[in-house]
Amino acid sequence: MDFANVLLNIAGRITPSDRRDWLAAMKAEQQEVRSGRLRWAVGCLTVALGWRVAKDGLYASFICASLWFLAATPFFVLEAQLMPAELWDLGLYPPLVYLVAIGLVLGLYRPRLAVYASIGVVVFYDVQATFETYLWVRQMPEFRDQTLWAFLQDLQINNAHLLIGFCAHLGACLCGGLAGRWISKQLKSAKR
Amino acid sequence: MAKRMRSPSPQTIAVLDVLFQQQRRWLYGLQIAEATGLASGSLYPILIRLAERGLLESRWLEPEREGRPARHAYRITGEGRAVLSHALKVRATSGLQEA
Repeated sequence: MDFANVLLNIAGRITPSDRRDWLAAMKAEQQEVRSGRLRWAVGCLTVALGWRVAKDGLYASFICASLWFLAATPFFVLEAQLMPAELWDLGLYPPLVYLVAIGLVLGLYRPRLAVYASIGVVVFYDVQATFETYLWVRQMPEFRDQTLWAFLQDLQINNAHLLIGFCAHLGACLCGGLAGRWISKQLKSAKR
Repeated sequence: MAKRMRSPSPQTIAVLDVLFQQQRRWLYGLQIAEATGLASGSLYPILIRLAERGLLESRWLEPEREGRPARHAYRITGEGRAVLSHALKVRATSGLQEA
């Protein structure tokens, strides 16, 4: 298999289902190209990427915006305004609520990807937040020599053990995602 | 009725023009690419847009050689001819005004 065919296979994988016929048309022509097969294949891949961006650009933008919101929003401000203290006592920390909401939108928008997207968002968010906190802690003179492993052993997420906190985040986002998927299915069946 | 279309780009006019020159024949994408000098990455978005607006029709033709896949071929429609004619007139008028 030459490189041009590899590119066409990639184009086939990323092409949305409603554009499959057009990709087949481009692939069929590629078999007739005598010189410049690679150039033709690069063109096919570019067109397929354009289709994918047009179809999923908004979705990808929402995921990026969610990650930015989770990472950059000053929670101490939002916590005071949006979350009554009683909810804290029940263990409903702001990130959990945000993750349910983000999962819900992800599930509504792309029901099939709800689980993968939720896992991706939570893993990215927790790894990023953990590492950022580690770097921040290491700026203090008394923790300058602390290793990442020692830091992780002491780390808590939402006042719980690291693993439990991560599972709570994942569960919150998955609950939102699955709820979104369920609502989306109900809406589709109601339309029919 | 075709959707309202912004004034077509020179590349779109070139594609329509090639199809118009051979309006009785079905042309393959590769033939249009060779005639217009457009790369596949530029040509196909134009063909898709034209097909969706009803300015060209397309169909799958049986392969000329055994073992090859069917090929997608294109032909200009009446609306396509009208749009091309209008675009060429506009271009000629704006060319005269610039001169």
